[in-house]
Amino acid sequence: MADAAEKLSISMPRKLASAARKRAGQRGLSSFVSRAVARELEREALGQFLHELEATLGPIPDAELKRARRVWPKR
Amino acid sequence: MAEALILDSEALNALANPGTRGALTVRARAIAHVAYERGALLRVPAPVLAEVCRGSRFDAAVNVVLNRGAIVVTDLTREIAQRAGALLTRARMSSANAIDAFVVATALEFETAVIASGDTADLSRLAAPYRQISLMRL
Repeated sequence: MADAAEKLSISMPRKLASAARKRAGQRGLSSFVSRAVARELEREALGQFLHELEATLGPIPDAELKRARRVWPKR
Repeated sequence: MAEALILDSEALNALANPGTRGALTVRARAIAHVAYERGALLRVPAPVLAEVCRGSRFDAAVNVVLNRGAIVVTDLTREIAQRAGALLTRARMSSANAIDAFVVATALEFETAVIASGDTADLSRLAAPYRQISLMRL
């Protein structure tokens, strides 16, 4: 079941708000902003998770990082 | 939709149990790190949890990782399940490969996706027709 929605009043730079409305449409703005916030929270959580693994296990060997970057598809 | 890194059971275990997975954990961390650099979302198809949640000792480590919010479980919807069935049919594979099919069907929810897996043989058969899906072996 989806979470109940909570109405928020937020401020953002006018140009950013205009770009968001243009991209999402007036009626889709809440969904657009919700996805963006969820994504940012996920990204922060992932960064923190990787940081903690590094603190516990040590840095990822350079060769492994290079391999992963090489194999990751170029889009 | 965005790019995603899809974790199979081996990849999830490698991140959830870093003390016991050795080289697999190193590779899984490297792949997750590159996903972070590229802005990709980390996803675990819900059926994968059936492979890794095998008792409280195993479940606890998985729950700790999933509860952090960095890796999100993608629910198995009717659309994904039916797509998985079509993938199995096309690849002439049996229901024994159902979880692999759910993994590939979940990857198809995204514009582009990378699947991190300990064994890519069956996944590569299922994903073969789709250029937007890439496989990375741990």
